[in-house]
Amino acid sequence: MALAVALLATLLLAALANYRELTPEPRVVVVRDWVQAASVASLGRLWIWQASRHGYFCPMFKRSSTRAFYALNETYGLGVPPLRNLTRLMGEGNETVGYVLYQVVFTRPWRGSWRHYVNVTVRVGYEFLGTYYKVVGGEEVLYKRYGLSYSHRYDGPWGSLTLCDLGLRDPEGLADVEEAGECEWLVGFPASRGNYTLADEFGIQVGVGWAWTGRP
Amino acid sequence: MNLGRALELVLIVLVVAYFASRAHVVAMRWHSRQHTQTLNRALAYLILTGPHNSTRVRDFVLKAGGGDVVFIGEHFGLASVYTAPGSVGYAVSLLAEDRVTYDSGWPYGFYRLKGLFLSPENYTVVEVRARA
Repeated sequence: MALAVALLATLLLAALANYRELTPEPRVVVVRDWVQAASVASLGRLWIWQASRHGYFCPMFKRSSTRAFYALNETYGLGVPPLRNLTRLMGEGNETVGYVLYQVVFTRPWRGSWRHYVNVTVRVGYEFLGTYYKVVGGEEVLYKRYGLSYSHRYDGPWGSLTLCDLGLRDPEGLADVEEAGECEWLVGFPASRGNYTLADEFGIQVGVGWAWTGRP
Repeated sequence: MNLGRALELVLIVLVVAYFASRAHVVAMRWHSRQHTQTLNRALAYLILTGPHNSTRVRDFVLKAGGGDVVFIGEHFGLASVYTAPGSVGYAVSLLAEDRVTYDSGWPYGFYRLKGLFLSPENYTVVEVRARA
Protein backbone atom coordinates (compact mmCIF):
# COMPACT_ATOMS: atom_id res chain seq x y z
CA MET A 1 0.00 0.00 0.00
CA ALA A 2 2.73 2.42 1.03
CA LEU A 3 4.64 1.52 -2.09
CA ALA A 4 1.58 2.15 -4.28
CA VAL A 5 1.04 5.61 -2.76
CA ALA A 6 4.70 6.50 -3.12
CA LEU A 7 4.72 5.30 -6.73
CA LEU A 8 1.60 7.31 -7.56
CA ALA A 9 3.02 10.43 -5.92
CA THR A 10 6.26 10.03 -7.83
CA LEU A 11 4.49 9.54 -11.14
CA LEU A 12 2.35 12.63 -10.54
CA LEU A 13 5.39 14.61 -9.63
CA ALA A 14 7.28 13.37 -12.69
CA ALA A 15 4.31 14.33 -14.89
CA LEU A 16 4.20 17.80 -13.31
CA ALA A 17 7.95 18.24 -13.78
CA ASN A 18 7.67 17.17 -17.40
CA TYR A 19 4.73 19.52 -18.05
CA ARG A 20 6.54 22.38 -16.40
CA GLU A 21 9.70 21.91 -18.41
CA LEU A 22 7.74 21.76 -21.65
CA THR A 23 5.65 24.83 -20.84
CA PRO A 24 7.75 27.06 -18.64
CA GLU A 25 5.16 29.82 -18.68
CA PRO A 26 1.65 28.55 -17.94
CA ARG A 27 -0.94 30.55 -19.87
CA VAL A 28 -4.01 29.87 -17.83
CA VAL A 29 -5.03 33.42 -17.00
CA VAL A 30 -4.11 36.84 -18.28
CA VAL A 31 -2.89 38.75 -15.29
CA ARG A 32 -3.61 42.46 -15.47
CA ASP A 33 -1.92 44.70 -13.04
CA TRP A 34 -0.25 48.08 -12.90
CA VAL A 35 2.06 47.56 -15.85
CA GLN A 36 -0.82 47.31 -18.36
CA ALA A 37 -2.41 50.45 -16.93
CA ALA A 38 0.94 52.26 -17.09
CA SER A 39 1.29 51.27 -20.76
CA VAL A 40 -2.16 52.80 -21.36
CA ALA A 41 -1.02 55.96 -19.55
CA SER A 42 1.90 56.07 -21.98
CA LEU A 43 -0.64 56.22 -24.85
CA GLY A 44 -2.57 59.01 -23.10
CA ARG A 45 0.62 60.98 -22.66
CA LEU A 46 1.37 60.61 -26.38
CA TRP A 47 -2.01 62.16 -27.15
CA ILE A 48 -1.22 65.06 -24.82
CA TRP A 49 2.11 65.49 -26.60
CA GLN A 50 0.16 65.94 -29.85
CA ALA A 51 -2.45 68.26 -28.29
CA SER A 52 0.24 70.44 -26.72
CA ARG A 53 1.58 71.12 -30.21
CA HIS A 54 -1.65 71.63 -32.11
CA GLY A 55 -4.10 72.99 -29.55
CA TYR A 56 -6.59 70.14 -29.86
CA PHE A 57 -6.77 66.37 -29.62
CA CYS A 58 -6.67 65.31 -33.27
CA PRO A 59 -9.16 62.44 -33.83
CA MET A 60 -6.98 60.95 -36.57
CA PHE A 61 -3.96 60.94 -34.28
CA LYS A 62 -5.98 59.21 -31.58
CA ARG A 63 -7.31 56.62 -34.01
CA SER A 64 -3.98 55.87 -35.67
CA SER A 65 -2.04 55.70 -32.40
CA THR A 66 -4.70 53.47 -30.85
CA ARG A 67 -4.39 51.16 -33.87
CA ALA A 68 -0.61 51.10 -33.43
CA PHE A 69 -1.00 50.49 -29.70
CA TYR A 70 -3.25 47.49 -30.24
CA ALA A 71 -0.96 46.14 -32.94
CA LEU A 72 1.83 46.16 -30.35
CA ASN A 73 -0.54 44.72 -27.75
CA GLU A 74 -1.30 41.84 -30.11
CA THR A 75 2.28 41.30 -31.28
CA TYR A 76 3.86 41.29 -27.83
CA GLY A 77 0.96 39.97 -25.76
CA LEU A 78 0.83 42.96 -23.44
CA GLY A 79 -2.57 41.98 -22.04
CA VAL A 80 -4.19 45.41 -22.33
CA PRO A 81 -7.99 45.16 -22.24
CA PRO A 82 -10.35 46.86 -24.72
CA LEU A 83 -10.68 50.55 -23.92
CA ARG A 84 -12.83 53.59 -24.48
CA ASN A 85 -11.57 57.12 -24.05
CA LEU A 86 -12.54 60.69 -23.44
CA THR A 87 -10.23 63.65 -24.06
CA ARG A 88 -10.53 67.22 -22.92
CA LEU A 89 -8.47 70.35 -23.47
CA MET A 90 -9.39 73.45 -21.47
CA GLY A 91 -7.50 76.67 -21.31
CA GLU A 92 -7.55 80.41 -21.30
CA GLY A 93 -5.02 83.13 -20.83
CA ASN A 94 -3.10 86.14 -22.05
CA GLU A 95 0.40 87.50 -21.46
CA THR A 96 -0.31 88.08 -17.77
CA VAL A 97 -1.97 84.94 -16.51
CA GLY A 98 -3.35 81.71 -17.94
CA TYR A 99 -3.69 77.95 -17.71
CA VAL A 100 -4.12 74.87 -19.89
CA LEU A 101 -5.51 71.54 -18.77
CA TYR A 102 -5.12 68.39 -20.85
CA GLN A 103 -7.05 65.37 -19.74
CA VAL A 104 -7.33 61.84 -21.12
CA VAL A 105 -9.66 59.35 -19.47
CA PHE A 106 -9.62 55.64 -20.34
CA THR A 107 -12.40 53.29 -19.31
CA ARG A 108 -12.48 49.51 -19.54
CA PRO A 109 -15.28 46.95 -19.49
CA TRP A 110 -16.19 45.68 -16.06
CA ARG A 111 -19.12 43.38 -15.28
CA GLY A 112 -21.36 44.62 -18.07
CA SER A 113 -20.50 48.32 -17.81
CA TRP A 114 -17.49 50.58 -18.30
CA ARG A 115 -15.43 51.77 -15.41
CA HIS A 116 -12.55 54.20 -14.97
CA TYR A 117 -9.18 52.65 -15.69
CA VAL A 118 -6.55 55.33 -16.22
CA ASN A 119 -6.70 59.14 -16.17
CA VAL A 120 -3.82 61.27 -17.39
CA THR A 121 -3.95 64.96 -16.54
CA VAL A 122 -1.35 67.56 -17.44
CA ARG A 123 -1.76 71.06 -16.07
CA VAL A 124 0.12 74.23 -16.99
CA GLY A 125 -0.45 77.51 -15.16
CA TYR A 126 1.52 80.74 -15.39
CA GLU A 127 1.47 84.22 -13.94
CA PHE A 128 3.48 87.32 -14.82
CA LEU A 129 5.59 88.46 -11.85
CA GLY A 130 7.64 91.37 -13.16
CA THR A 131 10.77 92.25 -15.11
CA TYR A 132 14.49 92.27 -14.47
CA TYR A 133 17.65 93.09 -16.34
CA LYS A 134 20.23 90.52 -17.26
CA VAL A 135 23.62 91.08 -18.82
CA VAL A 136 23.85 89.07 -22.03
CA GLY A 137 26.95 89.44 -24.22
CA GLY A 138 27.95 92.66 -22.40
CA GLU A 139 24.52 94.26 -22.85
CA GLU A 140 21.70 94.67 -20.40
CA VAL A 141 18.62 92.91 -21.68
CA LEU A 142 15.13 93.28 -20.21
CA TYR A 143 13.70 89.93 -19.11
CA LYS A 144 10.14 89.03 -18.11
CA ARG A 145 9.73 86.79 -15.10
CA TYR A 146 6.84 84.38 -14.73
CA GLY A 147 5.76 81.96 -12.05
CA LEU A 148 5.01 78.62 -13.68
CA SER A 149 3.18 75.65 -12.22
CA TYR A 150 3.42 72.40 -14.15
CA SER A 151 2.48 68.86 -13.22
CA HIS A 152 1.40 65.46 -14.55
CA ARG A 153 -1.14 63.41 -12.65
CA TYR A 154 -1.76 59.74 -13.31
CA ASP A 155 -4.77 58.07 -11.74
CA GLY A 156 -5.08 54.32 -12.08
CA PRO A 157 -4.97 51.05 -10.14
CA TRP A 158 -2.02 52.47 -8.17
CA GLY A 159 -4.12 55.38 -6.87
CA SER A 160 -2.99 58.88 -7.80
CA LEU A 161 0.55 59.80 -8.77
CA THR A 162 1.56 63.42 -9.27
CA LEU A 163 4.85 64.17 -10.98
CA CYS A 164 6.62 67.48 -10.59
CA ASP A 165 10.17 66.58 -11.57
CA LEU A 166 9.53 66.56 -15.31
CA GLY A 167 12.89 67.70 -16.63
CA LEU A 168 11.69 71.04 -17.99
CA ARG A 169 14.06 72.16 -20.70
CA ASP A 170 14.53 75.19 -22.82
CA PRO A 171 14.89 74.21 -26.48
CA GLU A 172 16.04 77.69 -27.52
CA GLY A 173 18.45 78.21 -24.65
CA LEU A 174 17.38 81.80 -23.90
CA ALA A 175 15.40 81.37 -20.70
CA ASP A 176 16.30 81.25 -17.03
CA VAL A 177 14.47 78.28 -15.52
CA GLU A 178 14.67 77.89 -11.78
CA GLU A 179 12.82 75.49 -9.52
CA ALA A 180 10.82 77.39 -6.91
CA GLY A 181 8.93 74.65 -5.06
CA GLU A 182 6.85 71.55 -5.61
CA CYS A 183 5.65 71.73 -9.24
CA GLU A 184 6.61 75.45 -9.29
CA TRP A 185 9.21 77.23 -11.36
CA LEU A 186 10.42 80.75 -12.00
CA VAL A 187 10.93 81.37 -15.70
CA GLY A 188 12.59 84.42 -17.17
CA PHE A 189 13.03 85.16 -20.87
CA PRO A 190 13.82 88.22 -23.02
CA ALA A 191 10.87 90.63 -22.93
CA SER A 192 11.20 91.11 -26.69
CA ARG A 193 9.85 87.57 -27.14
CA GLY A 194 6.40 88.33 -25.73
CA ASN A 195 5.94 84.71 -24.69
CA TYR A 196 8.00 81.55 -24.55
CA THR A 197 7.71 77.79 -24.90
CA LEU A 198 9.48 75.17 -22.83
CA ALA A 199 9.25 71.39 -23.15
CA ASP A 200 9.27 68.58 -20.63
CA GLU A 201 11.23 65.33 -20.86
CA PHE A 202 8.39 63.71 -22.85
CA GLY A 203 8.44 66.55 -25.39
CA ILE A 204 5.13 68.06 -24.20
CA GLN A 205 5.16 71.80 -24.90
CA VAL A 206 4.70 74.14 -21.96
CA GLY A 207 3.57 77.65 -22.85
CA VAL A 208 4.65 80.60 -20.68
CA GLY A 209 2.74 83.79 -21.44
CA TRP A 210 0.39 82.00 -23.84
CA ALA A 211 -2.21 79.27 -23.59
CA TRP A 212 -4.37 77.18 -25.87
CA THR A 213 -7.97 78.23 -25.49
CA GLY A 214 -9.68 74.93 -26.20
CA ARG A 215 -12.99 74.09 -24.64
CA PRO A 216 -14.43 70.66 -23.88
CA MET B 1 13.06 -10.92 5.86
CA ASN B 2 11.99 -12.54 2.64
CA LEU B 3 12.95 -11.40 -0.83
CA GLY B 4 9.64 -9.61 -1.44
CA ARG B 5 10.07 -7.45 1.68
CA ALA B 6 13.65 -6.59 0.75
CA LEU B 7 12.60 -5.64 -2.78
CA GLU B 8 9.82 -3.45 -1.43
CA LEU B 9 12.24 -1.69 0.88
CA VAL B 10 14.67 -1.04 -1.95
CA LEU B 11 11.85 0.28 -4.12
CA ILE B 12 10.62 2.58 -1.36
CA VAL B 13 14.13 3.99 -0.94
CA LEU B 14 14.48 4.51 -4.70
CA VAL B 15 11.06 6.15 -5.00
CA VAL B 16 11.68 8.47 -2.05
CA ALA B 17 15.08 9.43 -3.48
CA TYR B 18 13.56 10.17 -6.89
CA PHE B 19 10.70 12.09 -5.29
CA ALA B 20 13.15 14.20 -3.33
CA SER B 21 15.20 14.88 -6.44
CA ARG B 22 12.13 16.23 -8.29
CA ALA B 23 10.55 17.95 -5.32
CA HIS B 24 11.78 21.39 -6.40
CA VAL B 25 9.06 21.53 -9.06
CA VAL B 26 6.33 21.78 -6.46
CA ALA B 27 7.95 24.87 -4.99
CA MET B 28 5.89 26.97 -7.39
CA ARG B 29 5.44 30.68 -6.93
CA TRP B 30 2.29 32.32 -8.17
CA HIS B 31 2.13 35.59 -9.99
CA SER B 32 0.53 37.30 -7.04
CA ARG B 33 3.52 36.67 -4.85
CA GLN B 34 5.40 39.64 -3.56
CA HIS B 35 8.38 39.52 -5.89
CA THR B 36 6.42 39.47 -9.16
CA GLN B 37 4.05 42.16 -7.91
CA THR B 38 7.06 44.24 -6.95
CA LEU B 39 8.50 43.86 -10.44
CA ASN B 40 5.16 44.60 -12.06
CA ARG B 41 4.91 47.79 -10.07
CA ALA B 42 8.53 48.73 -10.59
CA LEU B 43 8.02 48.50 -14.34
CA ALA B 44 4.79 50.53 -14.11
CA TYR B 45 6.61 53.17 -12.08
CA LEU B 46 9.33 53.43 -14.72
CA ILE B 47 6.79 53.84 -17.53
CA LEU B 48 4.92 56.55 -15.65
CA THR B 49 7.83 58.61 -14.43
CA GLY B 50 10.12 59.03 -17.39
CA PRO B 51 11.01 58.31 -21.00
CA HIS B 52 12.59 54.96 -21.76
CA ASN B 53 16.20 54.57 -20.74
CA SER B 54 17.74 51.08 -20.89
CA THR B 55 20.21 51.64 -18.07
CA ARG B 56 17.58 53.13 -15.77
CA VAL B 57 15.20 50.25 -16.47
CA ARG B 58 17.83 47.57 -15.91
CA ASP B 59 19.22 49.07 -12.72
CA PHE B 60 15.81 49.79 -11.18
CA VAL B 61 14.29 46.42 -12.06
CA LEU B 62 17.32 44.53 -10.76
CA LYS B 63 17.19 46.55 -7.55
CA ALA B 64 13.45 45.97 -7.11
CA GLY B 65 13.50 42.27 -7.97
CA GLY B 66 16.79 41.23 -6.44
CA GLY B 67 17.75 37.68 -7.29
CA ASP B 68 14.35 36.85 -8.79
CA VAL B 69 15.03 38.74 -12.02
CA VAL B 70 16.52 36.36 -14.55
CA PHE B 71 16.19 38.30 -17.78
CA ILE B 72 15.58 41.84 -19.01
CA GLY B 73 15.10 42.41 -22.71
CA GLU B 74 13.75 45.08 -25.00
CA HIS B 75 11.97 45.14 -28.33
CA PHE B 76 12.77 48.52 -29.81
CA GLY B 77 10.95 49.86 -32.86
CA LEU B 78 10.57 53.12 -34.70
CA ALA B 79 7.47 55.28 -34.73
CA SER B 80 6.59 58.26 -36.84
CA VAL B 81 4.21 61.18 -36.78
CA TYR B 82 2.88 62.17 -40.18
CA THR B 83 0.69 65.02 -41.25
CA ALA B 84 -2.28 64.89 -43.55
CA PRO B 85 -4.43 67.87 -44.58
CA GLY B 86 -5.97 69.15 -41.36
CA SER B 87 -4.85 66.26 -39.20
CA VAL B 88 -1.93 64.33 -37.76
CA GLY B 89 -1.31 60.59 -37.74
CA TYR B 90 0.92 58.13 -35.92
CA ALA B 91 2.39 54.85 -37.07
CA VAL B 92 4.80 52.26 -35.71
CA SER B 93 7.01 49.75 -37.44
CA LEU B 94 6.54 46.25 -36.10
CA LEU B 95 10.06 45.36 -37.25
CA ALA B 96 11.68 45.67 -33.87
CA GLU B 97 15.28 45.32 -32.80
CA ASP B 98 15.65 42.91 -29.90
CA ARG B 99 18.15 43.71 -27.18
CA VAL B 100 19.10 41.86 -24.04
CA THR B 101 20.23 44.06 -21.18
CA TYR B 102 20.45 41.35 -18.53
CA ASP B 103 20.47 37.57 -18.67
CA SER B 104 21.31 35.42 -15.67
CA GLY B 105 21.17 32.21 -17.68
CA TRP B 106 18.37 30.74 -15.54
CA PRO B 107 17.24 27.63 -17.46
CA TYR B 108 14.01 26.83 -15.61
CA GLY B 109 10.53 28.24 -15.42
CA PHE B 110 9.82 31.95 -15.27
CA TYR B 111 7.04 34.49 -15.32
CA ARG B 112 7.10 37.14 -17.96
CA LEU B 113 6.08 40.77 -17.53
CA LYS B 114 5.88 43.22 -20.40
CA GLY B 115 5.40 46.95 -20.45
CA LEU B 116 5.25 49.49 -23.25
CA PHE B 117 7.01 52.84 -23.47
CA LEU B 118 5.41 54.84 -26.27
CA SER B 119 6.89 58.05 -27.62
CA PRO B 120 6.51 60.13 -30.80
CA GLU B 121 9.77 58.78 -32.28
CA ASN B 122 9.86 55.19 -31.09
CA TYR B 123 8.45 52.55 -28.83
CA THR B 124 10.06 50.03 -26.51
CA VAL B 125 8.48 46.90 -25.13
CA VAL B 126 10.41 45.94 -22.01
CA GLU B 127 10.29 42.28 -21.09
CA VAL B 128 11.21 41.19 -17.59
CA ARG B 129 11.37 37.53 -16.59
CA ALA B 130 11.14 36.58 -12.95
CA ARG B 131 12.14 33.20 -11.60
CA ALA B 132 9.09 31.04 -11.07
